[in-house]
Amino acid sequence: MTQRGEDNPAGPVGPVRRTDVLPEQTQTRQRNQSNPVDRVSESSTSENESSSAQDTELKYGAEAVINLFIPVTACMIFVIASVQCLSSYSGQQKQTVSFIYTPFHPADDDSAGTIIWQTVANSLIMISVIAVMTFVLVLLYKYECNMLLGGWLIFSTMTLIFMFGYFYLQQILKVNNAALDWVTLGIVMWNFGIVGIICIHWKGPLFLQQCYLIISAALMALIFIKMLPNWTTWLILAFLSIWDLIAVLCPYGPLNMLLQLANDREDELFPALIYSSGAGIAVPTVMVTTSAGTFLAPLLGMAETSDPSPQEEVQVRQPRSQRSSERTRTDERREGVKLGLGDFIFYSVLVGKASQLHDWNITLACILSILVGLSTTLIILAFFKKPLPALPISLTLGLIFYFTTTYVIAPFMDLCIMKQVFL
Amino acid sequence: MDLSDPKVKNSDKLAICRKFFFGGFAFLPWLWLVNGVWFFREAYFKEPFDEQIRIRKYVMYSIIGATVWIAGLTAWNCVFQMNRASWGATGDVLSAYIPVGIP
Repeated sequence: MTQRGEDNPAGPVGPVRRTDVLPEQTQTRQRNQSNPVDRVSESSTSENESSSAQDTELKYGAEAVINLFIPVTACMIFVIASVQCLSSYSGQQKQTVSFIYTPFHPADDDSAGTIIWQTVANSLIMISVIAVMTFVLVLLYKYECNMLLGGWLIFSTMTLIFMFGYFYLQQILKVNNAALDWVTLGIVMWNFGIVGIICIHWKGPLFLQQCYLIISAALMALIFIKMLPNWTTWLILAFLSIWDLIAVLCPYGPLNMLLQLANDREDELFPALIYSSGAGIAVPTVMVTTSAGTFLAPLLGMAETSDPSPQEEVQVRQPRSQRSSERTRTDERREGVKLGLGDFIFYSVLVGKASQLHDWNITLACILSILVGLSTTLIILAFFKKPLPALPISLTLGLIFYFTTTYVIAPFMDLCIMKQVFL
Repeated sequence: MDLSDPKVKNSDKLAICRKFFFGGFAFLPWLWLVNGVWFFREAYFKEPFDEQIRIRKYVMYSIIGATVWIAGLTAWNCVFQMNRASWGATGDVLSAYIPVGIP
């Protein structure tokens, strides 16, 4: 034995172990064979249930975060790239056209008091318009004016994709000084728009639908960045996060009522107003949404959603999802988390506006703070399992970091570099 | 929507493929391309089912149609970009955006 040990240290261990273990193994095997079904199945199901319950919560958390990070980051990158490359969005040109909802345009040389009251007035007007239109949307949904609602939404999607897409294409041509003929332009815009509407409002590949939603959110964000006066943008973002909190969490908030109505009717809630990372199953318990998507509506008479008529697939899936014990792996995989389109828009507005300063420190700080806010919201969602507003935490963090970085950190870093504190 | 969802019936898939195919005749080569790519796996890499032959037909025609359109557009664009300046007034009428500077 010892010799074997010297030659092969594992030698004595192996056989010794095997001889020790074998009787026990046979004993356990005999015991298992005697009550194979009961014992094994009990232990396995209890293990499975506890582990699958844990797994579901954990898996849902990590996967959902990643599934939302990618589109949010993609939208932000698109907006930042456009702001950097296309001069029309970079805030250097004097804005002659503006929204009718922001009638006051403080000039740079006005006194601080003038700027402040004009900014506050602009923001209050904008927020009240949003609030009114959200209530109108909820009322239309409540009294089932489906034709009006559907028509309004399709009209708004069309305006968004065609008009803003055409404007974006013009900017690209202008920057590259490239010629394009009417034939090609017409065909490209027609195709882009019609396939977009088909994918968003009817049926299409999920990936393409997600891409179109991201593109329309980015185009909307670019228009905001272009049209809103500087300080108004920041104040609107601040007011919006407060409004979002009220609208989703308060009992009489419009979005709360909307979600309750949709829940009661067991209806799919505006699939085109909401980005879904999964295959479009409406599981309201895991939905994170925001009022801001509906806010698109008032701006240019537009909003994005599809007709809220109940669809067969959803009604079949809804009762299934409520019986969680019968949840299969495929259902878990396809339960995506949903994020309202307005969230994409306002995250991108914040980041795009920050990138207008052409300082990457500020832009990166804002991107990271928004992503951290989003993951925090998702963690809270995993605990509370009811629809939550996605704007407040992210926008608060984003605004804090924007102003801190711009006025404190960036000058500090510049000074450190100038004084060569870090070599 | 997710084609691998077992709740989506084959007849539904055929209906969508067919609608996309006929929709593409309205000057929508991108719709044909989307149709072809989306249903490609269903048509050629799945176990044979009843409607697969018709889906294959629509997918093939969609892809051919899209290829023809792309070839045509590419040819037209090459011609236009190279000769736009020499066409004078016609070139300006045809252009949606006229670049600044000397061509």
